[in-house]
Amino acid sequence: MCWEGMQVADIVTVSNLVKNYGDLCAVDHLSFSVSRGEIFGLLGPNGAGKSTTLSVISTLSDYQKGEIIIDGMRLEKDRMGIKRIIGMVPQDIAVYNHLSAIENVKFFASLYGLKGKKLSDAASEALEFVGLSDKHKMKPKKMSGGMRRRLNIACGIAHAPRLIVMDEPTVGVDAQSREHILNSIRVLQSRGATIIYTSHYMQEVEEICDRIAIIDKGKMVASGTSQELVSLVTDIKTFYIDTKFGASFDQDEFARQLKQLPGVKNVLIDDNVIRIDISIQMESITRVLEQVISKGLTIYNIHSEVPNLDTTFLTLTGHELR
Amino acid sequence: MNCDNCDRRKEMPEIILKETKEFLRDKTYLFFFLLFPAMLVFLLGNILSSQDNADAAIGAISIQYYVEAKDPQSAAGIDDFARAISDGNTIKMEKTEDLAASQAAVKDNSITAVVVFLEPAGIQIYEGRNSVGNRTVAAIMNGFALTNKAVLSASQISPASLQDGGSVEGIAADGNSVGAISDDAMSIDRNFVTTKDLGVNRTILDYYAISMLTMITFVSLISGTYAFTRERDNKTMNRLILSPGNRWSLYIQKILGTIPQIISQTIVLMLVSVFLFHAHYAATWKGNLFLFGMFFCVALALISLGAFIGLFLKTEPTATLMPILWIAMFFGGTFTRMVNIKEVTPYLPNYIVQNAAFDITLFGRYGMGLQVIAVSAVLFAATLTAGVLVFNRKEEQ
Repeated sequence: MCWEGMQVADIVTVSNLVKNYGDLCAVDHLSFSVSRGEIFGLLGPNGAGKSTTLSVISTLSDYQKGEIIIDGMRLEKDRMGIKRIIGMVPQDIAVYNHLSAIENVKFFASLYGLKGKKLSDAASEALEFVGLSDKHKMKPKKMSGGMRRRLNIACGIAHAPRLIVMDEPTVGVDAQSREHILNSIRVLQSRGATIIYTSHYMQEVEEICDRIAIIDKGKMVASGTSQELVSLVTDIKTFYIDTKFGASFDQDEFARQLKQLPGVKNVLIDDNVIRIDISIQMESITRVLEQVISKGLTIYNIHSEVPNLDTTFLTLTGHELR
Repeated sequence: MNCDNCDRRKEMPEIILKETKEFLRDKTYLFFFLLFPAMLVFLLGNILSSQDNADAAIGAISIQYYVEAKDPQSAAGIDDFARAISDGNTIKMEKTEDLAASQAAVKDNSITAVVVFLEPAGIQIYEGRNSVGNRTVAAIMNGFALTNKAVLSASQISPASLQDGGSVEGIAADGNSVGAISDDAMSIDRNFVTTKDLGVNRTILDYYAISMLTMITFVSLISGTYAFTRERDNKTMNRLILSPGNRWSLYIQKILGTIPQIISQTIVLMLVSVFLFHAHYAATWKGNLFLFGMFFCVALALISLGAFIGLFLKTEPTATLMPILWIAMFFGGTFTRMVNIKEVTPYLPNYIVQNAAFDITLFGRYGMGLQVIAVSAVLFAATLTAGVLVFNRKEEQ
């Protein structure tokens, strides 16, 4: 498999995309671009509009407003041309249980016009690429979760697409399969493919994505490299205070009170741990601790953390990824 | 290698091949569409055949007879027998000079059977579709032949004993007078009465062969529904839609992909019923081909309707549609012909198709079958068009 180079620097350009489901605005004037040959991460909480955006880019869904240009082709004009260069690896494992691994890959590749020896070679190569060549006769229902995930990828890349859309391709797989999948993605990139990648695993995104876009409520919150994103929130320092709450203690009210303290950016209470993001300009957390003590809470431990993508995401969107 | 130069939607054979592989490898499908109907033909046919005999009344027996013998004495003897046996009420035995017309009357169910008194000896019965009537005619003719054997024996032992004229005429089964019958012709071991099926002698197995064919044809509705719901369940629908090509083309290919299934389910059931269970369909090749064609058209229309329903159906197709089909089949006489509600049964589509099939197989009449094919064609075209329009606009999630 090889991916031929192209002329335009950005393979995907999305401008002011608007997509509504009835009264619900799923994507709200979203704009971003994906450079040729990069792995582009799309991050956002559930319902942020990631899947809808991917769905529109991959020609599955219509949209109300905006402009999408993929590989120099305008989506509303040349849908068929765009379909030919896109490969989709959906979040759900999309294979036929009654067909063997090789039959599955061959079938999906045949939909793109591959025939005869070309088709056989492409299917074998795709299976080899995901490490399933020795399981080519095995049916998906007899495969492990990780193997099925890899087969899912093989079905999406056998026709050698230039742009691969991967929607959480590592969900529910063991560490070994995950590593194999991530390595495969890097190899795909090294062969010239551009990959749009979504995942709930922040570490994974940080590890393999060249650039990341964080979207929430259908809008772009921030985009850039992992470091650029973290730098957006470098004035934030996170403290973890281990304590113990009584059964009648109103944690939500307490979190609200802490948030009102000067310099406190965000508060999250989870399982007797208070996580507080404060402005780095604050010289001490005395007032926070005073507030905790005034509520009669015992402090068992305190530690701080350097901001990472996780923190960045939380800071920018106000909630965790999951 | 990339697919920038991919041909547009030329993968029809691949989709049909994929659908066929899935059908042939799905044990549940194979059971419901091939094994189960064949088993039902056998089980219902055999279990209910006894009930059929017990419930059936003999009714009026109408026989036409044809005498090959030119000898006036023999013919007169047979005529006397016919007169004697006709009671003017239950049993009527009339002479015919046109054997072909009488055979046609048997096929039309106008008379019970045709009996031919063969030259030089023997009786040939052309049976109708009333199995109880056939047995009654055979019994009458056997009685006639055995009586003549007895007369023959008596004449050989003591010819004088018959000179005074008994109540039984000395007429052998071949119509000749006793004295003229050779030893060979009237050998005591000879089987005088033979039967011949004109292709209309029906059993309850034949009924179920048709009704089960109707059943699997209507169950195709569910099969059609699965055409898209199964893709959704497999999560493969988006992959199909994403491939280069128009949605309408994909929709049509999915429908056409079920053709091998329709052909195999119809042919397998017909062959198994005929060769394994000795059921009968039409008497001629033409009739059987027409029958196959009619069921094929109905199944294709129902698959198209099912696929259209499947575009909207959010629940499991079998659980949703099977109860409706079973009720229709129950009141449509699929499982027993005893159920026939005047206000409901004649209007059920499965009953109408079943009747058209019986018209073809029993009477060789194709009019009703042609109507069924025409309606199926309209239904197919309408549901296919509607399905394409909906599928083109529908967004998969």
